[in-house]
Amino acid sequence: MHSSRARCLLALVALVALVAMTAGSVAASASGQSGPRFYADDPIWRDNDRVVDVRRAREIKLDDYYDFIENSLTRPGDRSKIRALNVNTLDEVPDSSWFTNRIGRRDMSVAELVTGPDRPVTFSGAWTIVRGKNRGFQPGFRAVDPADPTGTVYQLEVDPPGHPEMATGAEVIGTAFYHAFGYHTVDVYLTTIDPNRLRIAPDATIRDANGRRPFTHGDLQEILKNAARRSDGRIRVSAERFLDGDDMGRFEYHGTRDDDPNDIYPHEHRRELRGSRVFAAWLNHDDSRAVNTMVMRHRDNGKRYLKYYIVDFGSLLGSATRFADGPQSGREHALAVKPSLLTFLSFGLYVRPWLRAAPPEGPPAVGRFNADRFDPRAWVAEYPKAAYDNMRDDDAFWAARIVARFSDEDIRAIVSKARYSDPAATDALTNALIRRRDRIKDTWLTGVTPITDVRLAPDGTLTFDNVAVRHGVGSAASGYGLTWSRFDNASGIHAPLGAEVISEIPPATAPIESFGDADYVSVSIRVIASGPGWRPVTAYFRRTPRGWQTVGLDRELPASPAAGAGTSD
Amino acid sequence: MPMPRVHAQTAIGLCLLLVGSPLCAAAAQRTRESLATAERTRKADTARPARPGGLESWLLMAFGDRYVERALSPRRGLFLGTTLPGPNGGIGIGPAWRFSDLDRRRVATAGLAAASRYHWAATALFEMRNVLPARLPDRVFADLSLGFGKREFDQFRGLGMDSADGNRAAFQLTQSFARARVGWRARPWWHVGAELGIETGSAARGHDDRLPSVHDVFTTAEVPGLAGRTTLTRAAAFLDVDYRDSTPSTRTAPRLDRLPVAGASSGGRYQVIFAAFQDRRSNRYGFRQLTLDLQQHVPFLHGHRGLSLRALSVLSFTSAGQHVPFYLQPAAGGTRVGRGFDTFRFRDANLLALQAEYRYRINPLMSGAVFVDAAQVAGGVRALSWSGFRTTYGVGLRLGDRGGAALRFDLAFGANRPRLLVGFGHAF
Repeated sequence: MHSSRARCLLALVALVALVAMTAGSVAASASGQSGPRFYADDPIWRDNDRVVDVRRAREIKLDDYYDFIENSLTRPGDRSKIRALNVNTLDEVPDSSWFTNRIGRRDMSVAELVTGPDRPVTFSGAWTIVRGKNRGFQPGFRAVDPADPTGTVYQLEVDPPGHPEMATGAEVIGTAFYHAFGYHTVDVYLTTIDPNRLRIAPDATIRDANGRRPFTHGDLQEILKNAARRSDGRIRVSAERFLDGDDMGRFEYHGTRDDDPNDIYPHEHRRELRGSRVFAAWLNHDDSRAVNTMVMRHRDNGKRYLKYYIVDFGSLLGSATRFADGPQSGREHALAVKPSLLTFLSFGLYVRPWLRAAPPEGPPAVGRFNADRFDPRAWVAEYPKAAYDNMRDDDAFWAARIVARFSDEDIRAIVSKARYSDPAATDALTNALIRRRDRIKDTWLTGVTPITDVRLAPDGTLTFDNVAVRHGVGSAASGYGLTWSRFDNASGIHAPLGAEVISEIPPATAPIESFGDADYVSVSIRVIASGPGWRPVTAYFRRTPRGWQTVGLDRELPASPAAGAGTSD
Repeated sequence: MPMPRVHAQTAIGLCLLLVGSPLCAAAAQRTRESLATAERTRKADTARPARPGGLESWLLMAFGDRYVERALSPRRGLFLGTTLPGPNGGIGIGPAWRFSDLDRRRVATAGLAAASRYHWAATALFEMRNVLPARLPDRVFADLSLGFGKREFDQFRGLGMDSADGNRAAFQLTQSFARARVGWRARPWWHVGAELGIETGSAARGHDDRLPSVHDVFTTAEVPGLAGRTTLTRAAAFLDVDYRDSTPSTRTAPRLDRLPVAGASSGGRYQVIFAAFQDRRSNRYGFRQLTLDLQQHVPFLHGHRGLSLRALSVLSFTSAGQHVPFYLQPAAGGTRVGRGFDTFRFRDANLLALQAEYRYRINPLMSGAVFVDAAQVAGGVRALSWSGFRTTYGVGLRLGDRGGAALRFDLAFGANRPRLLVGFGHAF
């Protein structure tokens, strides 16, 4: 009898539990969640994408022509403009095998910015050529410094005769900037070579149409003939270190690598690749494409993983490596159908607007680079890329905040790393970069509601940052509307705690007395400003023994976004 | 107190019932990282080395592995030769063989080319470049070359501008030469030099069964060089000023690119060649020839539009009783001079050609052109006149990087019928 009652009671409990959980499941599904809104480890700042041993990866040989054709004539990748998939719950990019937060999350000294990925190396001035350079547009070769006991191989590349210091300068400047942004880059150094101190290793080879063959004195002369020489006969080169590890080829700006289990976010939906369009626009990196990337396989505690690099910045700023950028650079894709047809059919009487107003070339070491008519939204690379096309205002906002953190002094210091012999070149580049940075701040810091760094102190003090106001761009906020809620993390339901409260400027005070025992609370922050159709951002806080931890930030796109960026959520 | 057995059974059943529900999955994966790890572990089961698709594989093979270069322009071995039978001669394709040292300083090339059943050529060429000792200054250069060629022509209509279409006839030309050239490169953009050589030639009956042989249509008095074999010595001096802005700038360095370079949008090229021929066999074909080839490119709109101008003259001077063999006479008509006319349509001892081409960049890989060609030939220099020009005109499309013309399509008008021309490189 006792047993029978207990069995019935248990069955009833089970049934109730089943109904309740099923209902909860349905509710969760209805709210679009398959789990809680926030997990215990949110917000993550490190994406552990080295967790699975990468055993089956092979070098992907990417064809430059195919990459151009595929991206110019088709639309590879997923073009749905969803929120970037690899951001954490604070709408930020965690560190990963693709990206390491640097100037975006912490202060960097000028010395650190200038050093970039470089190591403390010195070169003896003598070089032994070990291999020809078979890829890329810039003449060069691979060599070792005989005085270097490690035998590290460097790729040495020269400047074009008509533009001394241009390509090599762009290379070191680009490397320093992209490293500071957070990308993985390869250390590259400026040095000069004396042609008389170049030796060719007996086993040095180069590849021609008949296959690999010995590297000859004639091959070297061919390269040196096309190198800018200094008045003392020496040649300035950039020396890029060859990385340790296995070369796994390139990565594309769409899709994922089939052979990397850790690569689960489609590249066109990675924020650091979408947002890199803003960096490319700033630095006029119109040559940003798959061919200028690198994937290496490294080992970490015996486990193999792939690391993704952006490399080869010789075609940056005003440089097209072997000549100065043309007027089209950054203005129009190589294959723009409509203007091409108009030009062809009108026998050239139709003149593109950017051609009519093309800026002149600057000093020879600079090429064609300035800030005149620079429109960050209109800037394009040589050919389209899914990640660039998918960039939304929130991706651009993320990148623009990083750009905005470079002070005038930072920019000048990085440009000075190129050691231009003409001070006018340093001035021209610095001034153009400062003006372009300001244009990016104007454009992208106001693209979405510019609220960041929302914090709730244990005593209920709410602080946040209006990035646009701090940088003096956009409309000044006349106040902020704050709406507090208790938040059910399992169901995703907000329970408002009263009406909206207007606060003039942060800090504001939260109604902590009405939070009760809530584990999660949220605040919707509405910027009261004329002009942009900003939507409120919602910040989420989790109760912890030490106070309130900011665990989430929802930033919706404006109702009527400006052209050139994503619209749908 | 231990759980009664029935309680345990119910709990297990409940758990089993919930397996697979979202909540159960969520309960099992309690962290963001574990969710991602599960996804990565799932992908690991299906991970496989990436393989390029069909088109990409082909492109990788063609360009990455350099099969196209191997097929068309290897350092050594068998390749597909695109022999150009001569100025304006069109393109002949056929097997060729090349031997070269690593620096391509000593190159031997032999090839057969056929454009059609009746239009063929066989050539053999041996070149030695930079034969001077390395310790001599770079500015001094010397080349040696030996060549042999045999070719079927089907485009001879007689000499002068009045030659009739109806007189079209065929012949077979055999030529050989040996040349030595020395020069001094004063600056990277201009050099001067001299050349000494010997060359032979003979015109035999044509084998084109659609056309009569040139020997059946013309007399040896009408066409010098028709009978017998000529052996001529050639002594020449030349000046070449080239400051076009092709890639990279010719002002500062020789071109690096082996493939067709981008088209010039500014600068100019001025060549002067004076050659004296002396007949070693019959004392009938001694003459002097002055070639002036003047080209100027005038850019506007940052080089995206430009006007390219050319004046070409080949003037022959002979003493009394001396002639220029017809196969050494300049010709108008074909893909480069006198577009619109058939290949080698007009031939005589003197040529004057004026060409103007308006070039406009469509995009970085394509450009268009509108051109006018005016050309005339004459037996004597004094017979050349402004009224003697025959003019053709047309439009063109070029495929090539930054205004270059790796492949050129021209549609020319002004002759009997419109002509579609396909060529490599710009007309000038």
